[in-house]
Amino acid sequence: MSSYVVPAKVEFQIDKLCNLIRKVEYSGDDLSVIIYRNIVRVHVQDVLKQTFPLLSQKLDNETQKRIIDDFILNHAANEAEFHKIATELIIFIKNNNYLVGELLCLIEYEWILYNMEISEGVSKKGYDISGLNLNTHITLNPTLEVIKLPFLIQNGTPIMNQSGDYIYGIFKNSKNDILRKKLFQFDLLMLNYIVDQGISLVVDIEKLMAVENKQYLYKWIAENSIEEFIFLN
Amino acid sequence: MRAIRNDSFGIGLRSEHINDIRDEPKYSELDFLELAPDNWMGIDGLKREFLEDISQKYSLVAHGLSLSIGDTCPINREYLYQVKHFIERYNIAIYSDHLCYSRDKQGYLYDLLPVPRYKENIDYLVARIDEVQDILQQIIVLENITWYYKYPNEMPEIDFWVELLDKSKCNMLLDINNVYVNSLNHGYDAYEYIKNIPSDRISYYHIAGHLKTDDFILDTHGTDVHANVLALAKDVFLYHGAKPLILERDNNIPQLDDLLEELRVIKQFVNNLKMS
Repeated sequence: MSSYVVPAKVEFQIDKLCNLIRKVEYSGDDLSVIIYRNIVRVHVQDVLKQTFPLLSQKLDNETQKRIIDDFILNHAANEAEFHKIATELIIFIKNNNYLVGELLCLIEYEWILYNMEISEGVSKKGYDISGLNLNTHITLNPTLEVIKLPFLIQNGTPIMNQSGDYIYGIFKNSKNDILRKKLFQFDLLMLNYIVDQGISLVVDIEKLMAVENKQYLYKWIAENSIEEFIFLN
Repeated sequence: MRAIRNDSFGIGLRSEHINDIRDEPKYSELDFLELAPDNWMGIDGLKREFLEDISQKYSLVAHGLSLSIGDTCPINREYLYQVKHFIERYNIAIYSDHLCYSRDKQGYLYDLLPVPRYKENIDYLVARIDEVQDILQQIIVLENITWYYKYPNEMPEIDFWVELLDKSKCNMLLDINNVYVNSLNHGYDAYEYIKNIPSDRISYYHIAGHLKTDDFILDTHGTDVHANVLALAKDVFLYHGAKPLILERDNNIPQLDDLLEELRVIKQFVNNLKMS
């Protein structure tokens, strides 16, 4: 590990400049300080706009400015990489209760989309159901994230005036497309079997199902396998 | 490891151009690509697949943003090990970052801030460069950044660089545009600066566009290379000889064909110099 000592003069000057950059108001006339203050704020603003475009459309300029200023003033960003600003920003926003209700759900939704885009995909393909039988195991797409939203998402846009509970499954297919699937009662029933109860064999699921659901089971497996919401083993 | 030669020309890899670079056959005028490992480490999915494909076609140079060699906190070893893994994974021979800091005691600020150019800062930087090179097991290359803020009683930039290069084992990424921009912003002779750098310590060159405002010339990388910067590039090539060159463009990103046309013009310009 390092054993060298930071020269006091260097430390003092660096702390001084960073303090001038971080604080919310700057009343001095040093244009160079203003340049750095602007650059740092524009970086964060760009991330807010690019990573959370739906949210940033819902926030007025004053709120955006307050979030960005407070983030720079108060947040201890640990992640070195510039693309991690988004991670740091969402940690800050959530920890400090900047958003509540629909807007908090919206940023969580966009965060899932962003994370999924940069995360590992799946190598399996899901469309082969020729070998489907009672001993087939059903597994969920490992990238699947389920989120409950208090608004509808239509063509990628939140419809805030249609309040209610909307549950979505978001996942990545083998082509690395990010898919959003509105989950209905039968989907949730299947998630309950597979995730909550740990039942994956088709025969076991079928045994637990009400008669009226059984006839739909194979259709559901076929459709969702094609979509790669589930995989069959 | 595929060599990048002194007569190699490249561009910075931008997400706007990834599809073209991946899908089209190798562009003859493009010898190598520079990318920020920060933007690719820990990234999977489609973007990672693209990088895999691109790395099969082009040699890569890693140009980091977050080493923060000049800050007052311990070196971020976790980050550095990720860089090491990345450059090994993609067979990258040159790893560069900036002579700057991007973090204070509170955390990262995500900008490239100038190190105070004090005599007592040099040994400190040398020790940190040694630490980084020990971890990476390779020479690192540091870029001269554009700076706007002046700390009180600093050494002239070139004196600081010369002493740093003399005492450390790092090399320099000479950004020609930054020399030009700094020379105008701070009133020094760009040519004097250039000729004081030891040629054998320059790993490669950057060239880019800038923006003139009322108060400062800003290093925006958002325009074509200015004629005055090309003129300075002529001095650089004549004085230090051919080195690999990267054309940077980070804002107002043009179509890839247009950027490559600009690279072609620069290449022709440099080749004509060598012939004369």
